[in-house]
Amino acid sequence: MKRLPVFFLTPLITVMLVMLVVTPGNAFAYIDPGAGSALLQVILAAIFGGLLFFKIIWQRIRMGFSRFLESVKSRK
Amino acid sequence: MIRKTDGLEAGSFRDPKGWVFRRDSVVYRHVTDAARDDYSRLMESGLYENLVKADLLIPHEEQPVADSGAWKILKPDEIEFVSYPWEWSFSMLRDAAIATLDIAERAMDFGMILKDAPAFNIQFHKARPVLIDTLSLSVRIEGRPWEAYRQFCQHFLAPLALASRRDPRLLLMGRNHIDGMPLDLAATLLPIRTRLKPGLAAHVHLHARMQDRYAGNESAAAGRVNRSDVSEQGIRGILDSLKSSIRSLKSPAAASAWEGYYSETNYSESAFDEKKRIVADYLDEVSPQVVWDLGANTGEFSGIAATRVDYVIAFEADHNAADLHYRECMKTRKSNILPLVMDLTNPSPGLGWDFRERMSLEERGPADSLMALALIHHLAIGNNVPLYKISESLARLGRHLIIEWVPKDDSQVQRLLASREDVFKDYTREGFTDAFANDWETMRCQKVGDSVRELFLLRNRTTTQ
Repeated sequence: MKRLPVFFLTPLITVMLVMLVVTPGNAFAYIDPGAGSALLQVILAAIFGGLLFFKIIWQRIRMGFSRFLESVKSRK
Repeated sequence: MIRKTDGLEAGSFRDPKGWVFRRDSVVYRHVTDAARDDYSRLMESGLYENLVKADLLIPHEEQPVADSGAWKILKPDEIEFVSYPWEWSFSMLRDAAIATLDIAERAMDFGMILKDAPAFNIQFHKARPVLIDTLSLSVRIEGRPWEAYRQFCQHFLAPLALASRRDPRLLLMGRNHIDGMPLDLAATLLPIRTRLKPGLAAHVHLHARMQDRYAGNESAAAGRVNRSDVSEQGIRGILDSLKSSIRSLKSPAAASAWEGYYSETNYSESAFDEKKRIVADYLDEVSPQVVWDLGANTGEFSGIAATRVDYVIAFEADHNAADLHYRECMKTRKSNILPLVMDLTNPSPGLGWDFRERMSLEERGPADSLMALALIHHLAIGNNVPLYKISESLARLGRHLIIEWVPKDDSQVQRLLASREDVFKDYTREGFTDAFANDWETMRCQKVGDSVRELFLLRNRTTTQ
């Protein structure tokens, strides 16, 4: 699978940096490592789910474009 | 409630829906009535067939239930040798991770989900990573997050990132953290620039931060999770992102490192050929089914054994040598060699609950035959182990032993002695044969070509009677 161009990733990193700042802090001793993971997943699902959607569209465009190029070449 | 079953496997107690037990040394899986929906969906939806066809899931047969109290009893195909993630090289752990993600994606195509993702659920069968826990696949409940996400990051992504971006020796930390690498620890150890890699930034660094932020405040986090739905597309996005992150990690063993691994031998070409011929002869004489090659390097002699026996486990202390060996086996489609990272001066101990959850190396033996080629000087001189102790230890691991005697005037031994006092008065041929005579009977002994080394074929006095 081809990697996405960089411009897709810049907003992603920005969203993550914002997340790091806005997630509320807490300092109790007892640790439930599952809770933070599940909440992170809710956020990441929205980001990566959307990204996958664009990735698939991007691949289709590329595929369509390369087919178009091939057909042009074969006509020559 | 887990019913006490004779022969319950020591590592199989976490999932109340089913467990593994052993009877007459055959492995079975007990499936309780609570797993009825999940198992039925797995078998009827076509997912089982799909995964087995792709060599991603261990095949099984259903057995008569009799009076076991089980809803089903399954007999899975036998795994040749149980190994653990701290014994896998980077490329092995990476292949196991990709297999886990493939399984999770395929499960979603069939309305199911991989409910847990510990690395222990993957074993190498015919040298390919397969899921051995048939009950890990359950019916997906729409809107629920992927429960195995944290476990996957801890068991696969974090150690792979550390091995690739920091040092492959960090894979051994798995011995201390058998529920996976704590993400805060991984985040601390990873180079700062990994924060700029979107996958690692999200799944390791931000993940560790989120765990820390919600430590002790889990009900607030759980409340927010319960109010939100995680769509199928969202989970697929996460799986895809994990896969890209893992694919982008390079093995720390660069392919160019091939050169040099065998250049350390001090054999002439003809003597090296002679050594191969003698080893093959010895193997033919005892015709073992399973061979453990101790100190296998990149597997030159494991390859010779593999053409003659059913299965070879190739142990090597050097991570990169084992990784190159594994990749070569994959490339040449050798399905009966399992390269593992193992330092024989500190082999895998029994670990986990009650010391038994994960087996020591010794518990997984004995092998029909051991090969200890160009090894004895590393143990006796490199690690100061008296010869009789080497003999005793090897006698607990194998029924036959092909061992190479490397005398003190050998240049490799001289290299080990170059910077230290020679305190090894007993390290002589006579000292060697005396030390081994208690545990082993000599069947054959042959000088190797024009070299100073000798190859011995020994029979275990205790286990071969």
